Amino acid sequence: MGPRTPAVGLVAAALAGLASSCGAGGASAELVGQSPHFRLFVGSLPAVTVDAEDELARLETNWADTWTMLHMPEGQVDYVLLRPDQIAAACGIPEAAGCEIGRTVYASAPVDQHELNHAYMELRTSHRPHPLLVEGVAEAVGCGEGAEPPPAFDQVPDWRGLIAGARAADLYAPGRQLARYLILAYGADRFLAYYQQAPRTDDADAFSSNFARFWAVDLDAVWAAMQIAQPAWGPDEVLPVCPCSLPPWTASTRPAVLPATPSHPYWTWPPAAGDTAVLAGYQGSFAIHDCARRDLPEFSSVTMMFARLAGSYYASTGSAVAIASGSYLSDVCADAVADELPARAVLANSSGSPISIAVQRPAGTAVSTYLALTTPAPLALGRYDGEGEVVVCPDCATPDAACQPVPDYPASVPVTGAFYLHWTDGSASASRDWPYTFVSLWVSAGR
Amino acid sequence: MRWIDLSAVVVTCASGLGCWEPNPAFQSNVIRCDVARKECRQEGVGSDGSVQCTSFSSAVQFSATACKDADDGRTNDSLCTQMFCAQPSGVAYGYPSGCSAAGTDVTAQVPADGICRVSSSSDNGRLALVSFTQRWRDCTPAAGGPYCSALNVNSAAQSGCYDLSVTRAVTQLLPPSDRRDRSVLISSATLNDPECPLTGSFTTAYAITPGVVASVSAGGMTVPVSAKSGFATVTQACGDGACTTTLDKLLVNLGDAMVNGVQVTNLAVSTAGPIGASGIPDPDSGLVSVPSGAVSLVATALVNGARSAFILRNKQPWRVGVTASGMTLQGSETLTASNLSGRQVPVTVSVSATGKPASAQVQACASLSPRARLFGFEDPASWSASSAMLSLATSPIKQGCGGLAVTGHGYMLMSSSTFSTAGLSPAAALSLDLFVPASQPNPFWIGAVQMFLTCPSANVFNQYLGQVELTGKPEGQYSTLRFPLPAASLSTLRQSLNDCSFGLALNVNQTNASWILDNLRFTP
Repeated sequence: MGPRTPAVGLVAAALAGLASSCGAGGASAELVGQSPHFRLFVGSLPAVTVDAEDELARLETNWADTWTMLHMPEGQVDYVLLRPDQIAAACGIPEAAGCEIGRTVYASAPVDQHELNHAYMELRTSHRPHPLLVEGVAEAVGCGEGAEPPPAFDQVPDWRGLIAGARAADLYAPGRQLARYLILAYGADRFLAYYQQAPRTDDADAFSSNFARFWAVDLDAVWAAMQIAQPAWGPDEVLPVCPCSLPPWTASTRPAVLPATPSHPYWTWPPAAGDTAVLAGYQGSFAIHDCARRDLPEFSSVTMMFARLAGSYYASTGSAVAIASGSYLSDVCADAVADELPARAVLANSSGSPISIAVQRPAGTAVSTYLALTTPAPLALGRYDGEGEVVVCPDCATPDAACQPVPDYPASVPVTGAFYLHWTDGSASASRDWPYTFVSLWVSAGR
Repeated sequence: MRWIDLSAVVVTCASGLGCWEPNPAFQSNVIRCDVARKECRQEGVGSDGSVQCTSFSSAVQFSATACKDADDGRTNDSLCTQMFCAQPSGVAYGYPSGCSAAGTDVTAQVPADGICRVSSSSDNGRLALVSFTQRWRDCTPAAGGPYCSALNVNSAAQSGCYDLSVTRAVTQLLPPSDRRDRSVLISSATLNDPECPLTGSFTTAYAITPGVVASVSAGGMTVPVSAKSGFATVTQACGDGACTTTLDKLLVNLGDAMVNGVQVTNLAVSTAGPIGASGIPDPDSGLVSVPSGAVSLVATALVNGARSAFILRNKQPWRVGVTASGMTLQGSETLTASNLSGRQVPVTVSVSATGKPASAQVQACASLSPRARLFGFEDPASWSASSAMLSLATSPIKQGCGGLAVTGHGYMLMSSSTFSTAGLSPAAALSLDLFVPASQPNPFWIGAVQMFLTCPSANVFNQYLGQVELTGKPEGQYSTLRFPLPAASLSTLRQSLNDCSFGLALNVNQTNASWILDNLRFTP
């Protein structure tokens, strides 16, 4: 037997803690089911409530989705689902929220992407490079926010100090940023090849020379580039890259529920053919992202979204989200299909809530599009966010000059019955290099 | 099934690699950052063509919410300093020296779940009730270039129901991304709040159709009962192939009636709790059955001038129907009541109420929390008085859908129902709007209003909040009455208490008109 590393000692301590608590009402777990890639254990005393079939479906969905980037070989992972207060004992680390110990994941979340990524990588390879890369890939792949607060792009410490000896927790954010940059710039397969041969060393020079040899580029240059890699219009924070391999939604002009299910933790964007997707829910019930998390800012705190987008996007959904698809946004007023503003949702908060309109467009071109809306209840609209100008017109025949401009919130214009919005985003932003543009309106109760 | 064999895990671990990476508790601490910094209020272009700040404000102070890992090695102060004193991304200049930020862990008051990480609440829960204040600066674009000729500070305090299961609150509730110096201070958050809509469902408000909604039969006599106003909120939730319909709230203000010689006035009917219905709708009527015992209604009224309350619980199934165009509630029940001579007589109540989709105004009113309805004087049943007649006023009102009409004279003391102080944002004063009727008999003394606070759990009973004289207030219109809060009262309201109530004393001359109270709120 070789020397016990501190790491193994920690595991032994963790398991000793788990073992000792078994008979004392602490963390213990029961095998409740298995699937091709997972054995699911669920904590008891007191029991964690979970539908094993759904939970295994969630995990298998995650496997299939993540496989498209990490290409792990066939194998099985033990997933131990515990209550949050049992995790620290199971992991043997005070305040731990989850851990991965030899392809066994201890987690309180139904899908702990960070720990699963560790398990997936262990199936791929027994090679363990520097923790910057181990934690980096665990943080860089997924469709959520990651296990760490998403860091800002330009607040990265110097890599030399990180390689020479930083705490594991300090490596999450820069590791995520480095792995994400390399995956986006060179592809996941190339990154995995690099991971496979990168040394486990705390010698900064040895690490950087290996890096330069493999990538044919200096680590300093990459470190600088990754801090400015995000376009100005994209998210402010460094977010994981979503594989986006799940099937897209299907929708028609008849609104249908778009739920988050075990086999659909998110929904990818279908080929739109010029149609507008309309998502509606309570404020915060859905969020729209681009798969690379590079182009779209967080479209999340709205109750309704009219999106004429085409590309690698996906939607995460929470409660009561409905989707419809059709020619709701049209560059020809008469062709705009009417939709109803769901007063029950937009007015779930007595002060009102925002709705957004977003369209794809060739960089630097102007936008002029119409949206036909109806509302049986009087509402008030104020311009809240985004680009361009919006006017409210009673019909398509009314010229813009005779329509009512939507003023900046908290000022508003009243609407009721059927009306048209004409949104123009022209000279002010046409020079920008954005792949899309958007405007948000605040909707509140009218009189 | 078997218990996990721990020794087997040891073997697995020993044979594997990398047993050492913990996932530190993700953002387990909510930090309130108290920041003092100078902010740019005007930009210009320097001689080198770069955008510069040409005028900084004097130091401004504000508080904002930040998140911190339990495993984060930084102190709370350094976290806040990094967040609020570092040069903002996308801005060509930083904050001047002297920026300071002190961090205080407020996780005990504001939960991390939902605020700093996406909510882990169950799919069958309700939305979260969040109170927060956004702060930002608005950029006035300069005519001559891509910079701001003015950057004016702005803020907005809000409270509402949010889905925190997709995006955490600190991200979701930030002011829009085109604002400068944006931050959000989350003062309270309650996941799965009973005042918020069910997730996985939609709640719709209906206005009760005025007219006959019930009949009351007793002693061979049948009396129709008419609705004057009211609303119902209905939640429809679908999952696993089945749908449920829940009548969340029902409040109907009914007209006066004479039943068997008994004068019934100020009659209001409300739900004692949600009324659930399930099953397959009747193919003809579309109505769904409400099982026995599921209907629990509370009727309050003045019976021959005495305040009375009745509880109606169904022994037979009722029916409820919800469509896009309206809602229906039908049912019949026999209960026992005392007649004038004190004899117990059977009374049959038959209900057939309909509602139409509510106006935006009623939608907004229906979505108000019970406390907001209390403060808005929306429901006369929330207030009681022994020497005054209280009723619903729908016009003129200052806010919401109703006000409290008070008829009577002399010293009329009204008491509110209890409310929770959780999530309140008490300010320096309480203000309310009072409609002073025209044709006052004594222009030299119109009257006065006093306010009191009671919170038994804080050992506060009828604490005097102050008096506002009405003499000089214009007649035939509303006036705002401001009650500066004594320090002790402010301190009480800042505690988390569940049993507070207000007392309101209206001392006025005799008139034949009603005084109307509306819009009790905290003001600077």
